[in-house]
Amino acid sequence: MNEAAAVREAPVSESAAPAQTAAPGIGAQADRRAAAAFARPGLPEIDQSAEFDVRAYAQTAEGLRPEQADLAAFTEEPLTRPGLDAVAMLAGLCAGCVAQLREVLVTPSHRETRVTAFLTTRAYELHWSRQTLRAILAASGAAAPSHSAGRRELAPWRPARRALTSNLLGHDHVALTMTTGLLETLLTDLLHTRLPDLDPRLAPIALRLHHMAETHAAFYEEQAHLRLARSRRARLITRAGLRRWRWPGDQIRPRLPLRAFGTSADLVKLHARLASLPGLTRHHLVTA
Amino acid sequence: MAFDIDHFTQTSERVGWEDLDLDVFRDDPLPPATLRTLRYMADVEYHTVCYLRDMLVTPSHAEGDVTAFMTFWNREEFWHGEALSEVLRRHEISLDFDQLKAKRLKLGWKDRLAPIKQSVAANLAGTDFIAVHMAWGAANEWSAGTAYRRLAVLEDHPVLATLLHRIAKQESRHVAFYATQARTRLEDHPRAQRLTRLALRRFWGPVGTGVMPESEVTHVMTHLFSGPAGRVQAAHIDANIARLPGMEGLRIVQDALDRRGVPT
Ligand SMILES: [Fe+2]
Ligand SMILES: [Fe+2]
Repeated sequence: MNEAAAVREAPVSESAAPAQTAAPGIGAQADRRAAAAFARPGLPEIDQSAEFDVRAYAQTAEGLRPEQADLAAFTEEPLTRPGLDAVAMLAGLCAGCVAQLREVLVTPSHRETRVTAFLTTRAYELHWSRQTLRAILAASGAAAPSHSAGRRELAPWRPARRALTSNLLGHDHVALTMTTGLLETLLTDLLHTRLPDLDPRLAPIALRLHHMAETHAAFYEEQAHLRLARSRRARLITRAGLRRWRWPGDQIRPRLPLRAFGTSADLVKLHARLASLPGLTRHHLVTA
Repeated sequence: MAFDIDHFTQTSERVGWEDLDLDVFRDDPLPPATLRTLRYMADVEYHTVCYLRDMLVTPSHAEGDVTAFMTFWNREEFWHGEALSEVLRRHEISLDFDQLKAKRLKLGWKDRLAPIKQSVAANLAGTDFIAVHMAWGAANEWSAGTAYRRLAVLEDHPVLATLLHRIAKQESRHVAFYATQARTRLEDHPRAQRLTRLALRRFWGPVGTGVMPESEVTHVMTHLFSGPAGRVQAAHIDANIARLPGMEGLRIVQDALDRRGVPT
């Protein structure tokens, strides 16, 4: 449609700001123009150079469902303590996802539609992972962690303060969100890969969780990379944020020490991956 | 009527359109007024994540079932946006992530302050505020479902109608959650009722108000709810809201139409 192309390139009034609202359209042409407002090329940059296909991810994400685990096997022969602890901790970490989503949404990241589309889908996946992990605990006769386990501190003023500070820090703050997302995903994934050592029957589940975590890490890593590379301010904010970074939240029970997650060689590898991000070369993040 | 959260999560699916021949729109395009309305609807659906944020900074988040619902609700709404985008794309109107971002960036300070205000107000009012949120959500979901069904009738296009009815069906499930929650939290809680009534009367606006330009709100309201047949639909939404405990006599949708001079 030629008309469409012409309309899209015309200087459409940027009518999102309520104060400078365009006059209500009269007639088909005005309707057509309003329908296509903002539908123009040449808008910001980072998303356009991102290669991770968020739509494809959202379309194919299924989540790991309880019925995909061999629960009967765990009823017959329950997990032993180390396995139970690891599974319970992972379930707690999944539950923290919604609290994390909240923290992200009160920062400038919520205006990043690509990021929110990703987080929307990730929250859905983690809901099912958590249900599955809880089902394994239940089949083993262990009490599943309560709903509140793994929730980050919910002090009422906290999201407000965070909204205030991170909005003042502005758009570059998203780089920090993406970097900590990567870091926490990689750490969690270390524990996924330990599961088969704790009980071989956890191997199929561990593999699924690992694949999911790899996809999440790929998204975070690319976003962090693009954002850190572009802006010195993003690098400053991210380094400062990482110095204050604490993981996991206080309410995660049980809390396994970091050495339960992996060998020191694993942690060195994780460090190397983070250090490959622009501006984080000399940053020492994880102390065992 | 209880809302079964496990049933909801287990049966939650992204709305599908793969089996629909959307390419019919290439030869038989929808009229511009309809595209404009669809554009509005798609933007509002994508914007759900911002409402989710407003909900998550309030005490309503502190409950497991609510959190699970929000997670799935947010995803379903995202896919409503994607489905409508597909239709728009067949009309050479592309709503890509980058353009949506531009819209959100323009919300500026007003939007930046929103979660702070929300959080402070919500925590001051305590758990009564959950009732407000739930009633508010119910009003929005009733409106959304009615709007989709109404557009399906107005346009009378078999492919579009099928898609809109699929979306509306999911909106009905959202209604069930919010209305059930609102009812339990309002029943026998006069303070919550007063607060909710005040909030709806003073602050409620059609879904998308404050996010979309006023010209677009007026277009959609006029397109869908003008004339006697449109007004009947609006009155129907109001009647549903008014059946919530303590909300008798509210007519917030019809008031919103009157304020915008939508013809009766
Ligand atoms: Fe929707
Ligand atoms: Fe809905």
